Amino acid sequence: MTKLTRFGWVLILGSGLCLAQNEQASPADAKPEQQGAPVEAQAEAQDAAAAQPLVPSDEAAVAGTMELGYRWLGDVGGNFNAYRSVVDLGSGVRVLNLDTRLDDPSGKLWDRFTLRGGGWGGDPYNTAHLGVERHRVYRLHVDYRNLVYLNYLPSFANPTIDRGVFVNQRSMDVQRRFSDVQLDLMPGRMLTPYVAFTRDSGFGRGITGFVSDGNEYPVANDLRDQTNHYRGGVRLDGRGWNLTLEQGGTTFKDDQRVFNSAPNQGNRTQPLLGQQLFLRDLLQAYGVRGDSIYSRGLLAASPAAWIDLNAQFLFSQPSSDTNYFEAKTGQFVLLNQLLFYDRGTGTLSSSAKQPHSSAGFNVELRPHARIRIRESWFTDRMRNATRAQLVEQLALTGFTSALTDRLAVNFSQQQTELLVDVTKRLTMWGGHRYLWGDSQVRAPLVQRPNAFESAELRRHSGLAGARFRPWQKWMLNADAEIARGDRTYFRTGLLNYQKLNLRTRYDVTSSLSVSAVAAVMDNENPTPGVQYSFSSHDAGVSVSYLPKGGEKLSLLVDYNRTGIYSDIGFIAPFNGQVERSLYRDNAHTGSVLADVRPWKAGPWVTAGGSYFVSSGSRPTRYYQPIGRVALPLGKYAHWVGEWRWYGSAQPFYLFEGFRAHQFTTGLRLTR
Amino acid sequence: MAWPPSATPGTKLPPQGRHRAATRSPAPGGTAAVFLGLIFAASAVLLAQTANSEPANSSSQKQGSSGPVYAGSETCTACHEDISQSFAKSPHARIAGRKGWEERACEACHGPAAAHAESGAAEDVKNPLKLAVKDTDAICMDCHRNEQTAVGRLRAGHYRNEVACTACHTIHQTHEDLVARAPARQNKQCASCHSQVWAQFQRPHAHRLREGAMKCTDCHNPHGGFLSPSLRTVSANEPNCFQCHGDKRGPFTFEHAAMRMQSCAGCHEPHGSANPRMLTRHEVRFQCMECHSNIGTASGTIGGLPPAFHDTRNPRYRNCTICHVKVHGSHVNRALLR
Repeated sequence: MTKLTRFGWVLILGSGLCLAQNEQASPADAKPEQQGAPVEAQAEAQDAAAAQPLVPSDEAAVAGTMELGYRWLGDVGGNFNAYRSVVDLGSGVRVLNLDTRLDDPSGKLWDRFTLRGGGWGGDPYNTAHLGVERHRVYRLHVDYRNLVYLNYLPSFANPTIDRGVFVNQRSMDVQRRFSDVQLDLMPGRMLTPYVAFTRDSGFGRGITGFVSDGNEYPVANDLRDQTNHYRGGVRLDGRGWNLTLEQGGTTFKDDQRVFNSAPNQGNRTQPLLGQQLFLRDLLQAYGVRGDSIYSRGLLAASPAAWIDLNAQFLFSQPSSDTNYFEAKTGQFVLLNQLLFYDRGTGTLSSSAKQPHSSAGFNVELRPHARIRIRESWFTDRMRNATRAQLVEQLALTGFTSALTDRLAVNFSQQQTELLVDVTKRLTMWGGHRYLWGDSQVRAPLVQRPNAFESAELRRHSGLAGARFRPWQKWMLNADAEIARGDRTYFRTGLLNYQKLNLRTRYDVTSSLSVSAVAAVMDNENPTPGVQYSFSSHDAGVSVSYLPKGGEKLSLLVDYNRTGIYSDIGFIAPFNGQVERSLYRDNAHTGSVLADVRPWKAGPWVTAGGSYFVSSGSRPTRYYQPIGRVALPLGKYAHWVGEWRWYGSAQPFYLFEGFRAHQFTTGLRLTR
Repeated sequence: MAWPPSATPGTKLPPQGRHRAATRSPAPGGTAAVFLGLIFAASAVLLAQTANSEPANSSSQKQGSSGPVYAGSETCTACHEDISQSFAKSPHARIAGRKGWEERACEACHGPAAAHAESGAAEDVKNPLKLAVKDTDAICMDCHRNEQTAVGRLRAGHYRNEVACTACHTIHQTHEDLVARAPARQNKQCASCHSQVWAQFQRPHAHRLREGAMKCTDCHNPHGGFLSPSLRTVSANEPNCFQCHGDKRGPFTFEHAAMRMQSCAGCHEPHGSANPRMLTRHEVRFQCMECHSNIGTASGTIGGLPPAFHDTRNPRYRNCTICHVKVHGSHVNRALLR
């Protein structure tokens, strides 16, 4: 039994015990009646009063929901690896959902205790969240997630795999675990210190590529990395201001290994210059160690009724040191020297340091009851300076190289907006945004060594928008932006663009509401050598029907239509001709969820699901219908049965389609 | 003028004294220099203040002989018993522990309600759900304006588009129900407005929000942040993507500039895509060749000249990341091969 499974069962048993002890919950102690007490006495006792439990003493000590069940996964039709890459839900006993609140009858330990979680018992996504708080004394948050990330899609690694035999070279089956603990002391008081710790780790196996001149080989990959974040700080609450000062650090390690121990022909099936290239043994061992310090200062203040301001300064300086070792045997070639060799080793030691500063300042002025002026400024500066030394031994020939690299990016943004309440129901705003920056990066290898290339960013944007609420039931929001620039970092970056967003909501009746969104965006870069054209549109409508607050019936319907068009040229490397990279995506997405509960304490039925159908560069159909029935079994329990179906197909990659049924039966305990 | 005011229900107080925005004088106009000077002066003054923990809402309320009259919470409970019971479990009920509001917690947000208690008319009392957004927010901000979560507020899309606090927060509910916290509930709540974003999560390759393993606020701070669109940060100023994808964080000996300058969204569609690995293009080579175009740097952009002499008609070269495996950055190889 793995640690995870054990933890899952402990969670189940603990929750079950909590739910079972309701009957024994004793009423809370009666609180001293404060009505009629002198104000001064109440003022002195306010801390004590605030610390009392908020939940009336006659309520259950434990409340919440827990859902336990068993899921059957029917035979998966089609590509099982694609099913695992996209859905990955399997068979077995599961804690499907847990959401409980535990009250402390004495009111001394906590006034809020919540435990949430789900997916325990073998699902690929296990989560748990614990929140405990005693007002003005402490607040504790614990968050844990364990996510399986499997990706085995041949169409990603080898788009033409159906026309040739190439082993999948980019796949992984890893777990990522994330834990976060934060403890705040004296929350709600003037001075609140806090400490926190976060760990993010990943481990698992995969297939990756090993490249040597003239051939590339699929090889095994053992992934293992871990990042720890430590931070502590203090929040100061004053009259009209709040200041947060935080100091933190990280440690990082990556011990990835890549290996091969059997003859591996690679992707080259034909000899090169009469020699058949192959790989026999390989070991690549990465030893990366990193650390960082970071500091954060945040200020929010409203020194007067007509002004709000906030400011922040953020600094981090991550660094890393690498020790890398590689050994290989087989038959290889060094093309630039036409040197064939059968074994080689390489060692590299390198280091990188990346100071990164950010600062921002925002202010809102309200010189008149109907006028607001917002000004914001932000800057972000990053440098990455590195050095490396590589020692290679290829058969009898040795090489030593000293390498450096550099990346420098400066970015700034300034924005001014004026908002005017034209009438009680209409607010309009307009403004201007200016972005500028410069960067310097290592030039491509074809240029001379240690050369750099630079780029700049310059863009002005006009901003406008309105919020119109003609009456209580109808709201309309419009937001537009038009930008013109003359420099951008990348060919596909934003330059001359315009975008418009519309959003409206209309409450037809107290139980029926309709909302709609629409967004369009165009981006053009007419610069010779770029000539990029991009446009997208997005429109959707949602209907929500909840008669009597959804007590007996609720119906949620969404439909969304999106389109993307992108067109940019590049020079095909093999013939020097200009080719176009065209991307099209025309998609329809819909979802329906109907919940019917004819009697208040009777059974209820849920039916619906979602679909996604697209055409264009990668046509896709993906369906997820769902049906669910719940039957009451006494006051606190329901039997729940659920059916789901997943169906996916991509006409260009039919070999990756899959279909799967899932049936779940279980108990839902509610208190 | 003494503070706190008399706690006796029925005492007359100045109109909405706790809502300072409505009672203080407006700012004078002036040039940018004067404006900046004022800001810094004000900042210096406020930093120098020896603050006490008295609630912000009490700072300007003064006792007077005329104005609206408070009814007291007991009077409210007489008619709104269900709300009152729910409110008793809410963190907002703590306002009754603050000076001056012991017996009229309801009126801290709804304003003096004696007239409403007498007439029963809805228009005689404030209902924050029906006020103009800025007026609703002014009520909330009176206590919550200067909190850590509000630091990015002025840059937030929600603030800019006038989404009221009450659009997400249910004020009378318990801590757990005050705002949706469980992933499934929260995602549903966000989707009720951002339906087009939720539609993207229905695509086959997406972060695990549908399964309840993640929630919108894992990546976004709805109150605003300095990264657009209200992205959370990790290690002070790095995008929150590295919270879970720590192995992509670096710093790398050999960086891929696009990763630092365009962020992850330069190549990935984090809300969902029909393309594997949430890429924004259907094949990796297009993703790469659009920047590494061989056209050169005359256009002023970077990355246009790689040593791209491969014959991309050959299946071996259809996917750049088969060889350039460390596309996010390499600790070892300048061409991102190891």
